[in-house]
Parts: sequence; structure tokens; C-alpha cells
Amino acid sequence: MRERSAASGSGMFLTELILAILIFAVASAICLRIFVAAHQISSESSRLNHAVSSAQDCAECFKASGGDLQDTAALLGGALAGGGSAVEVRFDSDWRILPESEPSFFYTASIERLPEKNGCIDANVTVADANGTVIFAIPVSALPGQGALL
Amino acid sequence: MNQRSRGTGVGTVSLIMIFTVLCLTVFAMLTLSASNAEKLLADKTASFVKGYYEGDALATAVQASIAGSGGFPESACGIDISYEQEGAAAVASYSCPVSDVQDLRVRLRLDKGKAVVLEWKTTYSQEWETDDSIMVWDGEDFE
Repeated sequence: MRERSAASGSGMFLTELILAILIFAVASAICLRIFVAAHQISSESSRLNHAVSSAQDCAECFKASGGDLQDTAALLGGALAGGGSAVEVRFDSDWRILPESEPSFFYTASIERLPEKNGCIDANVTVADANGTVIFAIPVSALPGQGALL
Repeated sequence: MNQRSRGTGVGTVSLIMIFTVLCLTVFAMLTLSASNAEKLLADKTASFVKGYYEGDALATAVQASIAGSGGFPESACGIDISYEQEGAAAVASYSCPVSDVQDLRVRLRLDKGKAVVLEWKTTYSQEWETDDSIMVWDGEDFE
């Protein structure tokens, strides 16, 4: 009688254990997906914050140099591109500025100068990833010969 | 009696499992809400910066128009400009919208065909409304 009740207790314990493991597996799979989604959202936010900060750096350097792209490139540590009508700055995966000679990059910030009108130099600052997907873009205007560094 | 105290009783596993799943769910929800708040803040910051630089570009275009005209235009690029006399020089003032509640306020001293920046700052465009809905003691004795 005692053996039978012990065997029944072990069976119940085993059934409970299996059920608990099953429920835990389902719940942890759902929670894991939530953690992954949260990580992706957080990475996107961090990427956007860095892009905004880089775009602001570009815009302020452009304004400070009075719209001169060569001075802007020198200030930012970037290089002239597009036949001298743009400045490109390349970043690695941690948003550190890469030297011109580095062929592989993760993000770029470019300042494309528009034709001058009404004595005002306009440009578009665009921050994109390596695939060319735009993360953040702002317009910027400068007055020639009136930058803070001039 | 000895047998009962030796092993883990029926129900203990369920209790541990419920506690673990509950902890896991709570932490997952907290993580998700924190990252959502972070994204919301990043989007708001990006929106403000975009608005600021759009306003800044407009203000620069107005400044270029004023400096280029050599006179006192009443408006430029759709922005109204007001003037006042400060000493020997005239001072131009205008505001460019940055967001629904903020403007970029600019004051320029017009001197010998140049527009020198006196003020270039963001200000609240909305009227300040004090919240006096909460009854607080004003320092006087009760009657």
C-alpha cells in the first residue's frame, strides 16, 4: 500500500514537473521575444540619437565656416566629395570618425551644398547608414564670410 | 513521515515556476516600456532639432535679405520684420517658428549695410498660464 502511494506521488510530481517545464518554455519564449524587441527599439533610439548629434555637428561646422566646404571638411575630419560640392564624414559602428583612407564604414554624414541664392548658402545635411538608408536629415544655411570661426 | 520530508513536495515546482514566470514577465514589460520611452524621447529630440534647423535656415535667409536690401523691408521669406532705433543704428526684430510652442527670436543691428546679430535664441511662443486650481495657503491667518 505504501509502495503504491509512493509511486503515485512520484508520478504526480513528474507530471507537474513536465507541465511546469512546458509552461515555463512557452512563457520564456514569449518573454525572450519581448526582450529582443526592446533591444531593437533601444538600438534604433541610440542610432537616431547619434545621427542627430552628428547632423548637428555638421550643421554647426558648416555655419561656423561661413558655408566653406573645405573648412567644414577640415573641422569635421571629413573629406570633400561630389566634385567639391559636398563633404562626407564616415563613421564606424560606434560612431567614431574614420580616416578618409578607410574603405569600410557603417554610417556617413554628408553635407550637400545647394546653389547660392539671395546671398545665403544653403545645404542639406544627411546622415545615412552603409546601405544608403537615411536616418536623419536637416537643412542648414550659412552667410558667406560671417561664420564664428572667420 | 521520513519519505515525505525527503523529496520535494507536489506543488513546490508549480510555485517556483509561477514565481519565475512572473518575474520574467515583469522584467520583460519593464524593459519594453523603458525602451519605448527612450524611443519616444529620441523621436522628440530629432523632431525638435529638425524644427530648429528649419527655423534657423529661415532666419538666416531673412538676415541675408535684410543685409542684401540695404533698406528696411517689412517682410522677407514670409516673416514680418519690425524695427526700432537704438542709438545711431536701427535694430530689426523677427521670429521664425521652430515648433508649435517655440520660436527662434532674432534681433539684428543694421550698421553700414551689415546685419550684426544681437540675439538669436529660442523662446516660448505660447502665453504662460499659471495653474491656480490648487488651493494653497497664502500666508494669511484662517478666519
